[in-house]
Amino acid sequence: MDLDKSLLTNYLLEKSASKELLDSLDKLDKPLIDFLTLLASELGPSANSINSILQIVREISLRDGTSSSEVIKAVNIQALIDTKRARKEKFSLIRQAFEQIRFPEKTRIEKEIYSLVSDIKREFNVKLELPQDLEGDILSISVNFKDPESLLENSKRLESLSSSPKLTQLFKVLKGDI
Amino acid sequence: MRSKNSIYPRLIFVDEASIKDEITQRVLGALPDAEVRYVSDVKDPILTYSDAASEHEKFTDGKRVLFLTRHKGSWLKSCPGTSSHVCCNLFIVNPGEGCPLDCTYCYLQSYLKKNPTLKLYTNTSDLFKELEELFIASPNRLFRVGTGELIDSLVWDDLTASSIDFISFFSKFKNAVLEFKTKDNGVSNILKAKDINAGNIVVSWSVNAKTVTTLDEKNTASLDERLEAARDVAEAGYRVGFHFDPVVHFNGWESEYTETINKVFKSVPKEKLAWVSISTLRYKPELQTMMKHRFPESKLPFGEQLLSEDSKLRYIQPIRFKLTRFIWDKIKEKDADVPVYMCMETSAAWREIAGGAPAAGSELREIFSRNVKLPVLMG
Repeated sequence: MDLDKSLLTNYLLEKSASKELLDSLDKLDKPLIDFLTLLASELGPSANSINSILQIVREISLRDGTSSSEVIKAVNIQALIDTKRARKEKFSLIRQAFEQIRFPEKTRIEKEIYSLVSDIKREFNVKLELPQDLEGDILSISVNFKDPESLLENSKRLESLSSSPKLTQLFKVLKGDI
Repeated sequence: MRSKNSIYPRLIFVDEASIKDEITQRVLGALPDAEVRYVSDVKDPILTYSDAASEHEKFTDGKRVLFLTRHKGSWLKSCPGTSSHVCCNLFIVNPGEGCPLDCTYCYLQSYLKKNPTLKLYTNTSDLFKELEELFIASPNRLFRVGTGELIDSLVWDDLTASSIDFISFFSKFKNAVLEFKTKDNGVSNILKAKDINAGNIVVSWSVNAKTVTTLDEKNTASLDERLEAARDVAEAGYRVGFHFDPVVHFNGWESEYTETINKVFKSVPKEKLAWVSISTLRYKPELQTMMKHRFPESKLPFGEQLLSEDSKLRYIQPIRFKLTRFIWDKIKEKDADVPVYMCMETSAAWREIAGGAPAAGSELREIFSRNVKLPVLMG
Protein backbone atom coordinates (compact mmCIF):
# COMPACT_ATOMS: atom_id res chain seq x y z
CA MET A 1 0.00 0.00 0.00
CA ASP A 2 1.41 3.40 -0.91
CA LEU A 3 1.82 6.09 1.71
CA ASP A 4 -1.11 8.28 0.64
CA LYS A 5 -3.54 5.39 0.58
CA SER A 6 -2.31 4.26 3.96
CA LEU A 7 -2.72 7.79 5.38
CA LEU A 8 -6.19 8.08 3.91
CA THR A 9 -7.22 4.67 5.21
CA ASN A 10 -6.04 5.54 8.72
CA TYR A 11 -7.81 8.88 8.54
CA LEU A 12 -11.07 7.25 7.46
CA LEU A 13 -10.74 4.57 10.13
CA GLU A 14 -10.40 7.32 12.72
CA LYS A 15 -13.53 8.93 11.30
CA SER A 16 -15.44 5.64 11.56
CA ALA A 17 -15.94 5.31 7.82
CA SER A 18 -18.20 2.58 6.51
CA LYS A 19 -16.69 -0.69 5.34
CA GLU A 20 -18.05 0.05 1.88
CA LEU A 21 -16.07 3.30 1.68
CA LEU A 22 -12.91 1.68 3.01
CA ASP A 23 -13.23 -1.19 0.53
CA SER A 24 -13.76 1.23 -2.32
CA LEU A 25 -10.33 2.80 -1.75
CA ASP A 26 -8.70 -0.21 -3.43
CA LYS A 27 -10.48 0.64 -6.67
CA LEU A 28 -9.45 4.31 -6.74
CA ASP A 29 -6.67 5.57 -8.97
CA LYS A 30 -3.75 7.57 -7.60
CA PRO A 31 -4.99 11.07 -8.52
CA LEU A 32 -8.22 10.38 -6.68
CA ILE A 33 -6.38 9.05 -3.63
CA ASP A 34 -4.11 12.11 -3.69
CA PHE A 35 -7.12 14.41 -3.96
CA LEU A 36 -8.95 12.81 -1.02
CA THR A 37 -5.77 12.75 1.05
CA LEU A 38 -5.28 16.45 0.40
CA LEU A 39 -8.84 17.16 1.53
CA ALA A 40 -8.36 15.01 4.63
CA SER A 41 -5.08 16.59 5.65
CA GLU A 42 -6.02 20.20 4.92
CA LEU A 43 -9.71 20.35 5.78
CA GLY A 44 -10.44 17.42 8.12
CA PRO A 45 -13.85 16.50 6.72
CA SER A 46 -16.06 13.68 8.03
CA ALA A 47 -16.05 10.29 6.34
CA ASN A 48 -19.52 11.03 4.96
CA SER A 49 -18.29 14.28 3.43
CA ILE A 50 -15.35 12.47 1.80
CA ASN A 51 -17.76 9.86 0.48
CA SER A 52 -20.14 12.44 -0.95
CA ILE A 53 -17.44 14.29 -2.87
CA LEU A 54 -16.01 10.98 -4.08
CA GLN A 55 -19.43 9.99 -5.46
CA ILE A 56 -19.80 13.29 -7.29
CA VAL A 57 -16.36 13.00 -8.90
CA ARG A 58 -17.02 9.40 -9.93
CA GLU A 59 -20.41 10.26 -11.40
CA ILE A 60 -18.95 13.06 -13.50
CA SER A 61 -16.18 10.75 -14.64
CA LEU A 62 -18.66 7.99 -15.63
CA ARG A 63 -21.07 10.41 -17.28
CA ASP A 64 -18.41 12.13 -19.36
CA GLY A 65 -16.24 9.08 -19.98
CA THR A 66 -13.20 10.90 -18.60
CA SER A 67 -10.67 9.91 -15.97
CA SER A 68 -11.15 11.08 -12.40
CA SER A 69 -7.90 13.04 -12.66
CA GLU A 70 -9.42 15.04 -15.55
CA VAL A 71 -12.47 15.76 -13.39
CA ILE A 72 -10.34 16.86 -10.45
CA LYS A 73 -8.25 19.13 -12.66
CA ALA A 74 -11.39 21.06 -13.63
CA VAL A 75 -11.48 22.63 -10.16
CA ASN A 76 -8.66 24.73 -8.73
CA ILE A 77 -8.67 22.95 -5.41
CA GLN A 78 -5.49 24.45 -4.04
CA ALA A 79 -6.80 27.99 -4.66
CA LEU A 80 -9.95 27.18 -2.69
CA ILE A 81 -7.90 25.65 0.12
CA ASP A 82 -5.71 28.78 0.22
CA THR A 83 -8.65 31.16 0.70
CA LYS A 84 -9.06 32.73 4.12
CA ARG A 85 -12.11 30.82 5.21
CA ALA A 86 -13.03 28.23 7.80
CA ARG A 87 -12.08 24.66 6.86
CA LYS A 88 -15.71 23.56 6.70
CA GLU A 89 -16.55 26.43 4.38
CA LYS A 90 -13.60 25.63 2.12
CA PHE A 91 -14.75 22.02 1.87
CA SER A 92 -18.24 23.19 1.07
CA LEU A 93 -16.92 25.43 -1.73
CA ILE A 94 -14.94 22.57 -3.22
CA ARG A 95 -17.96 20.28 -3.14
CA GLN A 96 -20.08 23.04 -4.65
CA ALA A 97 -17.59 23.44 -7.50
CA PHE A 98 -17.91 19.75 -8.37
CA GLU A 99 -21.68 19.85 -7.96
CA GLN A 100 -21.79 22.61 -10.55
CA ILE A 101 -20.02 20.31 -13.00
CA ARG A 102 -22.28 17.40 -12.03
CA PHE A 103 -25.48 19.47 -12.47
CA PRO A 104 -24.71 22.06 -15.17
CA GLU A 105 -28.30 22.79 -16.23
CA LYS A 106 -29.48 23.15 -12.64
CA THR A 107 -26.50 25.40 -11.92
CA ARG A 108 -27.26 27.59 -14.92
CA ILE A 109 -30.93 27.92 -13.97
CA GLU A 110 -30.22 28.63 -10.30
CA LYS A 111 -27.60 31.20 -11.25
CA GLU A 112 -30.12 33.03 -13.41
CA ILE A 113 -32.82 32.86 -10.72
CA TYR A 114 -30.56 34.10 -7.92
CA SER A 115 -29.18 36.85 -10.12
CA LEU A 116 -32.73 38.04 -10.90
CA VAL A 117 -33.68 37.92 -7.21
CA SER A 118 -30.57 39.90 -6.36
CA ASP A 119 -31.25 42.51 -9.09
CA ILE A 120 -34.82 42.90 -7.88
CA LYS A 121 -33.65 43.38 -4.32
CA ARG A 122 -31.21 46.04 -5.41
CA GLU A 123 -33.65 47.83 -7.67
CA PHE A 124 -36.81 47.67 -5.57
CA ASN A 125 -35.42 47.11 -2.11
CA VAL A 126 -37.62 44.06 -1.51
CA LYS A 127 -36.57 40.59 -0.60
CA LEU A 128 -38.29 37.90 -2.63
CA GLU A 129 -38.67 34.45 -1.15
CA LEU A 130 -38.53 31.65 -3.66
CA PRO A 131 -40.58 28.47 -3.25
CA GLN A 132 -38.66 25.80 -1.36
CA ASP A 133 -36.33 23.83 -3.66
CA LEU A 134 -37.74 25.94 -6.51
CA GLU A 135 -40.87 23.74 -6.41
CA GLY A 136 -44.09 25.67 -6.94
CA ASP A 137 -45.30 28.85 -8.55
CA ILE A 138 -45.81 31.13 -5.58
CA LEU A 139 -43.27 33.73 -4.48
CA SER A 140 -43.52 35.70 -1.27
CA ILE A 141 -42.38 39.07 -0.05
CA SER A 142 -42.34 40.25 3.51
CA VAL A 143 -42.86 43.95 4.05
CA ASN A 144 -41.79 45.86 7.11
CA PHE A 145 -43.04 49.36 7.75
CA LYS A 146 -42.90 51.73 10.68
CA ASP A 147 -45.73 54.12 9.84
CA PRO A 148 -48.50 54.63 7.27
CA GLU A 149 -46.19 56.70 5.08
CA SER A 150 -43.59 53.95 4.80
CA LEU A 151 -46.34 51.46 3.97
CA LEU A 152 -47.46 53.71 1.13
CA GLU A 153 -43.88 53.93 -0.07
CA ASN A 154 -43.63 50.14 0.01
CA SER A 155 -46.85 49.76 -1.91
CA LYS A 156 -45.52 52.05 -4.65
CA ARG A 157 -42.35 50.00 -4.86
CA LEU A 158 -44.36 46.80 -5.10
CA GLU A 159 -46.55 48.28 -7.78
CA SER A 160 -43.56 49.16 -9.91
CA LEU A 161 -42.06 45.70 -9.23
CA SER A 162 -45.24 44.09 -10.58
CA SER A 163 -44.47 45.46 -14.03
CA SER A 164 -40.75 44.75 -13.90
CA PRO A 165 -39.45 42.64 -16.82
CA LYS A 166 -37.08 41.02 -14.31
CA LEU A 167 -39.99 39.69 -12.29
CA THR A 168 -41.61 38.39 -15.46
CA GLN A 169 -38.35 36.71 -16.39
CA LEU A 170 -38.04 35.22 -12.91
CA PHE A 171 -41.44 33.56 -13.22
CA LYS A 172 -40.55 32.34 -16.68
CA VAL A 173 -37.38 30.65 -15.51
CA LEU A 174 -39.06 29.16 -12.44
CA LYS A 175 -41.81 27.69 -14.59
CA GLY A 176 -39.42 26.29 -17.16
CA ASP A 177 -40.54 28.72 -19.84
CA ILE A 178 -36.95 29.21 -20.99
CA MET B 1 -36.21 -6.79 -35.43
CA ARG B 2 -35.88 -8.51 -32.06
CA SER B 3 -36.77 -12.14 -31.49
CA LYS B 4 -39.14 -12.70 -28.61
CA ASN B 5 -37.62 -16.12 -28.03
CA SER B 6 -34.74 -14.39 -26.31
CA ILE B 7 -37.01 -13.12 -23.55
CA TYR B 8 -39.01 -16.27 -22.97
CA PRO B 9 -38.08 -18.18 -19.81
CA ARG B 10 -35.58 -21.00 -19.93
CA LEU B 11 -36.84 -22.40 -16.66
CA ILE B 12 -40.40 -22.53 -15.39
CA PHE B 13 -41.34 -23.28 -11.80
CA VAL B 14 -44.91 -24.44 -11.34
CA ASP B 15 -46.58 -24.23 -7.98
CA GLU B 16 -48.37 -27.54 -7.39
CA ALA B 17 -51.56 -25.63 -6.61
CA SER B 18 -51.44 -24.14 -10.12
CA ILE B 19 -50.90 -27.30 -12.15
CA LYS B 20 -54.50 -27.68 -13.30
CA ASP B 21 -55.14 -24.00 -13.96
CA GLU B 22 -55.87 -22.97 -17.53
CA ILE B 23 -53.08 -20.36 -17.64
CA THR B 24 -50.54 -22.99 -16.59
CA GLN B 25 -51.65 -25.31 -19.34
CA ARG B 26 -51.48 -22.54 -21.94
CA VAL B 27 -47.97 -21.44 -20.94
CA LEU B 28 -46.53 -24.93 -20.74
CA GLY B 29 -48.17 -25.76 -24.07
CA ALA B 30 -46.61 -22.71 -25.67
CA LEU B 31 -43.12 -23.40 -24.31
CA PRO B 32 -42.60 -27.14 -24.79
CA ASP B 33 -38.81 -26.86 -24.66
CA ALA B 34 -38.52 -25.00 -21.36
CA GLU B 35 -37.31 -26.89 -18.30
CA VAL B 36 -40.18 -27.29 -15.83
CA ARG B 37 -39.84 -27.86 -12.09
CA TYR B 38 -42.78 -28.42 -9.78
CA VAL B 39 -42.59 -26.86 -6.34
CA SER B 40 -44.79 -26.28 -3.34
CA ASP B 41 -44.66 -23.72 -0.54
CA VAL B 42 -42.06 -21.63 -2.34
CA LYS B 43 -42.46 -17.87 -2.31
CA ASP B 44 -39.83 -16.89 -4.82
CA PRO B 45 -37.87 -19.73 -6.46
CA ILE B 46 -34.93 -17.72 -7.75
CA LEU B 47 -33.98 -16.76 -4.20
CA THR B 48 -33.53 -20.47 -3.50
CA TYR B 49 -32.09 -21.63 -6.79
CA SER B 50 -29.82 -18.79 -7.88
CA ASP B 51 -26.30 -18.82 -6.49
CA ALA B 52 -25.78 -15.14 -7.37
CA ALA B 53 -24.28 -13.21 -4.49
CA SER B 54 -25.79 -9.78 -4.95
CA GLU B 55 -29.33 -8.47 -5.25
CA HIS B 56 -28.68 -7.05 -8.70
CA GLU B 57 -27.31 -10.36 -9.99
CA LYS B 58 -30.26 -12.24 -8.52
CA PHE B 59 -32.59 -9.77 -10.16
CA THR B 60 -30.92 -10.40 -13.53
CA ASP B 61 -31.16 -14.19 -13.01
CA GLY B 62 -34.85 -13.79 -12.21
CA LYS B 63 -35.47 -12.23 -15.62
CA ARG B 64 -35.30 -15.60 -17.35
CA VAL B 65 -37.21 -17.68 -14.83
CA LEU B 66 -40.99 -17.80 -14.69
CA PHE B 67 -43.01 -18.91 -11.71
CA LEU B 68 -46.60 -20.01 -12.32
CA THR B 69 -48.38 -19.60 -9.04
CA ARG B 70 -51.64 -18.49 -7.47
CA HIS B 71 -52.33 -14.98 -6.27
CA LYS B 72 -53.45 -14.70 -2.70
CA GLY B 73 -55.46 -11.79 -1.35
CA SER B 74 -57.23 -8.93 -3.06
CA TRP B 75 -56.49 -8.27 -6.73
CA LEU B 76 -57.73 -4.72 -7.18
CA LYS B 77 -55.61 -1.90 -5.81
CA SER B 78 -55.47 1.83 -6.22
CA CYS B 79 -52.36 3.03 -7.99
CA PRO B 80 -50.14 4.27 -5.14
CA GLY B 81 -49.49 7.60 -6.88
CA THR B 82 -47.02 9.77 -5.00
CA SER B 83 -47.37 12.30 -2.20
CA SER B 84 -48.02 15.99 -3.02
CA HIS B 85 -48.78 15.16 -6.64
CA VAL B 86 -51.99 15.03 -8.67
CA CYS B 87 -53.17 11.45 -9.16
CA CYS B 88 -55.04 10.02 -12.15
CA ASN B 89 -57.13 7.61 -10.07
CA LEU B 90 -56.11 4.43 -11.80
CA PHE B 91 -57.04 1.08 -10.32
CA ILE B 92 -54.62 -1.72 -10.94
CA VAL B 93 -54.80 -5.47 -11.09
CA ASN B 94 -51.65 -7.48 -11.43
CA PRO B 95 -51.97 -10.69 -13.44
CA GLY B 96 -48.34 -11.27 -12.60
CA GLU B 97 -45.21 -9.58 -11.30
CA GLY B 98 -41.91 -8.71 -12.91
CA CYS B 99 -41.07 -8.19 -16.55
CA PRO B 100 -38.72 -9.94 -18.98
CA LEU B 101 -38.15 -6.61 -20.71
CA ASP B 102 -35.26 -4.78 -19.15
CA CYS B 103 -35.58 -1.01 -19.03
CA THR B 104 -32.76 0.78 -17.25
CA TYR B 105 -35.13 3.03 -15.30
CA CYS B 106 -37.69 0.35 -14.38
CA TYR B 107 -38.84 0.82 -10.79
CA LEU B 108 -39.47 -2.91 -10.44
CA GLN B 109 -35.72 -3.32 -9.97
CA SER B 110 -36.08 -1.80 -6.53
CA TYR B 111 -39.71 -2.67 -5.88
CA LEU B 112 -39.23 -6.38 -6.58
CA LYS B 113 -35.60 -6.80 -5.59
CA LYS B 114 -36.55 -9.10 -2.71
CA ASN B 115 -38.66 -11.35 -4.95
CA PRO B 116 -37.19 -11.11 -8.43
CA THR B 117 -38.61 -14.24 -10.09
CA LEU B 118 -41.04 -13.36 -12.87
CA LYS B 119 -44.51 -14.49 -11.90
CA LEU B 120 -47.75 -15.20 -13.65
CA TYR B 121 -50.82 -15.79 -11.55
CA THR B 122 -52.81 -18.73 -12.76
CA ASN B 123 -56.05 -18.20 -10.80
CA THR B 124 -57.31 -15.35 -12.98
CA SER B 125 -60.88 -16.64 -12.59
CA ASP B 126 -60.65 -15.33 -9.00
CA LEU B 127 -59.52 -11.97 -10.36
CA PHE B 128 -62.56 -11.72 -12.64
CA LYS B 129 -64.86 -12.80 -9.82
CA GLU B 130 -63.55 -10.04 -7.55
CA LEU B 131 -63.86 -7.39 -10.26
CA GLU B 132 -67.36 -8.52 -11.16
CA GLU B 133 -68.56 -8.20 -7.56
CA LEU B 134 -67.07 -4.74 -7.31
CA PHE B 135 -68.40 -3.43 -10.63
CA ILE B 136 -71.89 -4.71 -9.81
CA ALA B 137 -71.80 -3.33 -6.27
CA SER B 138 -70.94 0.22 -7.51
CA PRO B 139 -72.81 0.65 -10.77
CA ASN B 140 -72.55 4.46 -10.64
CA ARG B 141 -68.83 4.50 -10.20
CA LEU B 142 -66.48 4.47 -13.14
CA PHE B 143 -63.52 2.13 -12.82
CA ARG B 144 -60.43 2.63 -14.94
CA VAL B 145 -58.40 -0.49 -14.46
CA GLY B 146 -54.86 -1.06 -15.67
CA THR B 147 -52.94 -4.32 -15.86
CA GLY B 148 -49.53 -2.85 -16.61
CA GLU B 149 -48.26 -1.75 -13.23
CA LEU B 150 -46.11 -4.65 -11.99
CA ILE B 151 -45.91 -6.42 -15.31
CA ASP B 152 -46.07 -5.45 -18.97
CA SER B 153 -49.70 -6.08 -19.95
CA LEU B 154 -48.93 -7.90 -23.18
CA VAL B 155 -45.43 -9.29 -22.91
CA TRP B 156 -46.65 -12.81 -22.07
CA ASP B 157 -49.83 -12.63 -24.11
CA ASP B 158 -48.45 -14.86 -26.86
CA LEU B 159 -48.18 -17.55 -24.17
CA THR B 160 -51.31 -16.92 -22.10
CA ALA B 161 -53.83 -15.33 -24.50
CA SER B 162 -55.23 -13.75 -21.36
CA SER B 163 -55.95 -10.49 -23.21
CA ILE B 164 -58.89 -12.30 -24.81
CA ASP B 165 -60.18 -13.27 -21.34
CA PHE B 166 -59.87 -9.65 -20.16
CA ILE B 167 -61.55 -8.16 -23.22
CA SER B 168 -64.37 -10.66 -22.97
CA PHE B 169 -64.85 -9.97 -19.26
CA PHE B 170 -64.82 -6.17 -19.57
CA SER B 171 -67.30 -6.29 -22.47
CA LYS B 172 -69.98 -7.09 -19.86
CA PHE B 173 -69.53 -3.86 -17.89
CA LYS B 174 -70.40 -0.33 -18.87
CA ASN B 175 -68.88 1.20 -15.75
CA ALA B 176 -65.36 -0.07 -16.33
CA VAL B 177 -62.53 0.71 -18.72
CA LEU B 178 -59.56 -1.59 -19.11
CA GLU B 179 -56.15 -0.31 -20.10
CA PHE B 180 -53.46 -2.64 -21.35
CA LYS B 181 -50.09 -0.91 -21.08
CA THR B 182 -47.08 -2.28 -22.91
CA LYS B 183 -43.75 -1.82 -24.67
CA ASP B 184 -44.34 -4.98 -26.66
CA ASN B 185 -45.87 -5.48 -30.07
CA GLY B 186 -47.55 -8.85 -29.55
CA VAL B 187 -51.14 -7.89 -30.35
CA SER B 188 -52.33 -10.95 -32.29
CA ASN B 189 -54.77 -12.01 -29.55
CA ILE B 190 -56.09 -8.50 -29.19
CA LEU B 191 -56.75 -8.43 -32.91
CA LYS B 192 -58.49 -11.80 -32.67
CA ALA B 193 -60.77 -10.42 -29.96
CA LYS B 194 -61.81 -7.31 -31.90
CA ASP B 195 -65.40 -8.46 -32.30
CA ILE B 196 -65.97 -8.79 -28.57
CA ASN B 197 -64.50 -5.35 -27.81
CA ALA B 198 -67.35 -3.30 -26.36
CA GLY B 199 -65.47 -0.03 -26.72
CA ASN B 200 -64.15 0.09 -23.17
CA ILE B 201 -60.72 -1.32 -23.95
CA VAL B 202 -57.72 0.96 -24.37
CA VAL B 203 -54.42 -0.47 -25.54
CA SER B 204 -51.60 1.85 -24.51
CA TRP B 205 -47.98 2.02 -25.41
CA SER B 206 -45.15 3.64 -23.51
CA VAL B 207 -43.25 5.67 -26.05
CA ASN B 208 -40.09 7.66 -25.86
CA ALA B 209 -37.36 9.45 -27.75
CA LYS B 210 -35.35 7.15 -30.00
CA THR B 211 -32.22 7.56 -27.88
CA VAL B 212 -34.08 6.30 -24.81
CA THR B 213 -35.83 3.38 -26.53
CA THR B 214 -32.57 2.33 -28.15
CA LEU B 215 -30.21 2.68 -25.20
CA ASP B 216 -32.36 2.20 -22.13
CA GLU B 217 -35.25 -0.09 -23.06
CA LYS B 218 -33.51 -3.42 -23.58
CA ASN B 219 -35.57 -6.29 -25.06
CA THR B 220 -38.56 -4.09 -25.84
CA ALA B 221 -40.15 -3.69 -29.26
CA SER B 222 -38.64 -0.76 -31.14
CA LEU B 223 -40.61 2.46 -31.33
CA ASP B 224 -41.58 1.70 -34.93
CA GLU B 225 -42.70 -1.83 -33.99
CA ARG B 226 -44.83 -0.45 -31.16
CA LEU B 227 -46.42 2.14 -33.41
CA GLU B 228 -47.10 -0.44 -36.08
CA ALA B 229 -48.90 -2.56 -33.47
CA ALA B 230 -50.80 0.54 -32.30
CA ARG B 231 -51.92 1.22 -35.86
CA ASP B 232 -53.17 -2.37 -36.25
CA VAL B 233 -55.05 -2.23 -32.97
CA ALA B 234 -56.66 1.11 -33.86
CA GLU B 235 -57.68 -0.23 -37.25
CA ALA B 236 -59.29 -3.16 -35.44
CA GLY B 237 -61.54 -0.69 -33.61
CA TYR B 238 -59.80 -0.28 -30.27
CA ARG B 239 -58.95 3.03 -28.69
CA VAL B 240 -55.25 3.57 -28.18
CA GLY B 241 -53.28 5.43 -25.50
CA PHE B 242 -49.70 6.65 -25.34
CA HIS B 243 -47.55 7.30 -22.32
CA PHE B 244 -44.51 9.51 -22.71
CA ASP B 245 -42.85 7.99 -19.70
CA PRO B 246 -40.20 8.61 -18.57
CA VAL B 247 -39.36 11.80 -20.42
CA VAL B 248 -35.60 12.20 -20.25
CA HIS B 249 -33.49 15.35 -20.52
CA PHE B 250 -30.52 14.83 -22.87
CA ASN B 251 -28.78 16.69 -25.67
CA GLY B 252 -31.16 16.78 -28.59
CA TRP B 253 -34.30 15.85 -26.64
CA GLU B 254 -36.46 18.43 -28.40
CA SER B 255 -35.97 17.06 -31.90
CA GLU B 256 -36.21 13.43 -30.82
CA TYR B 257 -39.44 13.87 -28.87
CA THR B 258 -40.86 15.89 -31.76
CA GLU B 259 -40.03 13.00 -34.07
CA THR B 260 -41.78 10.53 -31.76
CA ILE B 261 -44.88 12.73 -31.51
CA ASN B 262 -44.98 13.05 -35.30
CA LYS B 263 -44.74 9.28 -35.63
CA VAL B 264 -47.50 8.71 -33.07
CA PHE B 265 -49.92 10.98 -34.91
CA LYS B 266 -48.98 9.44 -38.24
CA SER B 267 -49.67 5.94 -36.90
CA VAL B 268 -52.99 6.37 -35.16
CA PRO B 269 -56.00 8.46 -36.26
CA LYS B 270 -56.80 11.24 -33.76
CA GLU B 271 -60.29 9.90 -33.13
CA LYS B 272 -58.82 6.64 -31.87
CA LEU B 273 -56.62 8.32 -29.26
CA ALA B 274 -58.07 7.70 -25.80
CA TRP B 275 -55.42 9.65 -23.92
CA VAL B 276 -51.78 10.61 -23.79
CA SER B 277 -49.83 10.99 -20.57
CA ILE B 278 -46.55 12.74 -19.89
CA SER B 279 -44.23 12.05 -17.01
CA THR B 280 -40.62 12.96 -16.52
CA LEU B 281 -37.95 10.61 -15.18
CA ARG B 282 -38.19 9.94 -11.46
CA TYR B 283 -37.03 7.10 -9.24
CA LYS B 284 -36.13 6.20 -5.72
CA PRO B 285 -32.46 6.67 -4.74
CA GLU B 286 -32.01 2.92 -4.24
CA LEU B 287 -32.86 2.40 -7.91
CA GLN B 288 -29.89 4.55 -8.88
CA THR B 289 -27.56 2.02 -7.26
CA MET B 290 -29.30 -0.84 -9.06
CA MET B 291 -29.05 0.99 -12.39
CA LYS B 292 -25.34 1.61 -11.93
CA HIS B 293 -24.76 -2.09 -11.28
CA ARG B 294 -27.06 -3.53 -13.92
CA PHE B 295 -26.56 -0.94 -16.68
CA PRO B 296 -23.02 0.42 -16.24
CA GLU B 297 -23.05 1.88 -19.74
CA SER B 298 -26.22 3.91 -19.20
CA LYS B 299 -26.09 7.66 -18.64
CA LEU B 300 -29.51 7.77 -16.98
CA PRO B 301 -28.22 7.59 -13.38
CA PHE B 302 -26.05 10.62 -14.12
CA GLY B 303 -28.80 12.97 -15.22
CA GLU B 304 -29.73 16.07 -13.24
CA GLN B 305 -32.13 14.40 -10.82
CA LEU B 306 -32.27 15.60 -7.23
CA LEU B 307 -34.09 14.33 -4.19
CA SER B 308 -37.58 15.81 -4.03
CA GLU B 309 -40.28 16.06 -1.39
CA ASP B 310 -41.68 12.58 -2.12
CA SER B 311 -38.21 11.02 -1.63
CA LYS B 312 -37.74 10.38 -5.32
CA LEU B 313 -35.00 11.74 -7.52
CA ARG B 314 -36.47 14.13 -10.10
CA TYR B 315 -35.38 16.97 -12.32
CA ILE B 316 -35.81 20.37 -10.69
CA GLN B 317 -39.07 22.10 -11.53
CA PRO B 318 -37.82 24.40 -14.33
CA ILE B 319 -36.35 21.44 -16.23
CA ARG B 320 -39.40 19.24 -15.56
CA PHE B 321 -41.84 21.89 -16.66
CA LYS B 322 -39.80 22.68 -19.75
CA LEU B 323 -39.78 19.03 -20.83
CA THR B 324 -43.45 18.49 -20.05
CA ARG B 325 -44.66 21.75 -21.59
CA PHE B 326 -42.73 21.07 -24.77
CA ILE B 327 -44.37 17.67 -25.28
CA TRP B 328 -47.78 18.91 -24.11
CA ASP B 329 -47.75 21.80 -26.60
CA LYS B 330 -46.51 19.64 -29.47
CA ILE B 331 -49.34 17.17 -28.89
CA LYS B 332 -51.91 19.93 -28.63
CA GLU B 333 -50.56 21.45 -31.87
CA LYS B 334 -51.34 18.15 -33.54
CA ASP B 335 -54.80 17.93 -32.01
CA ALA B 336 -56.14 20.37 -29.48
CA ASP B 337 -58.84 17.93 -28.38
CA VAL B 338 -56.69 14.93 -27.55
CA PRO B 339 -56.92 14.21 -23.80
CA VAL B 340 -53.49 14.77 -22.29
CA TYR B 341 -52.59 14.39 -18.65
CA MET B 342 -49.52 14.50 -16.47
CA CYS B 343 -48.68 11.52 -14.32
CA MET B 344 -47.37 12.25 -10.82
CA GLU B 345 -46.98 15.99 -11.27
CA THR B 346 -47.69 18.83 -8.88
CA SER B 347 -50.76 21.04 -8.95
CA ALA B 348 -48.40 23.89 -9.95
CA ALA B 349 -47.52 21.92 -13.07
CA TRP B 350 -51.19 21.57 -13.95
CA ARG B 351 -51.73 25.30 -13.47
CA GLU B 352 -48.71 26.32 -15.50
CA ILE B 353 -48.74 23.77 -18.29
CA ALA B 354 -52.37 22.75 -18.66
CA GLY B 355 -53.91 26.02 -17.51
CA GLY B 356 -55.66 24.48 -14.53
CA ALA B 357 -56.31 21.36 -12.54
CA PRO B 358 -58.05 18.50 -14.31
CA ALA B 359 -61.80 18.68 -13.81
CA ALA B 360 -64.38 15.94 -13.70
CA GLY B 361 -66.59 16.33 -16.74
CA SER B 362 -63.67 17.34 -18.97
CA GLU B 363 -62.37 15.23 -21.79
CA LEU B 364 -60.36 13.42 -19.14
CA ARG B 365 -63.40 12.29 -17.19
CA GLU B 366 -62.47 8.65 -17.57
CA ILE B 367 -59.21 9.40 -15.86
CA PHE B 368 -60.07 11.94 -13.20
CA SER B 369 -63.48 10.58 -12.41
CA ARG B 370 -63.76 9.03 -8.99
CA ASN B 371 -66.75 11.19 -8.17
CA VAL B 372 -68.55 10.96 -11.47
CA LYS B 373 -72.14 9.91 -10.83
CA LEU B 374 -73.27 8.42 -14.11
CA PRO B 375 -70.59 7.18 -16.43
CA VAL B 376 -71.08 7.55 -20.13
CA LEU B 377 -68.45 5.63 -21.96
CA MET B 378 -67.45 4.65 -25.39
CA GLY B 379 -67.28 7.77 -27.47
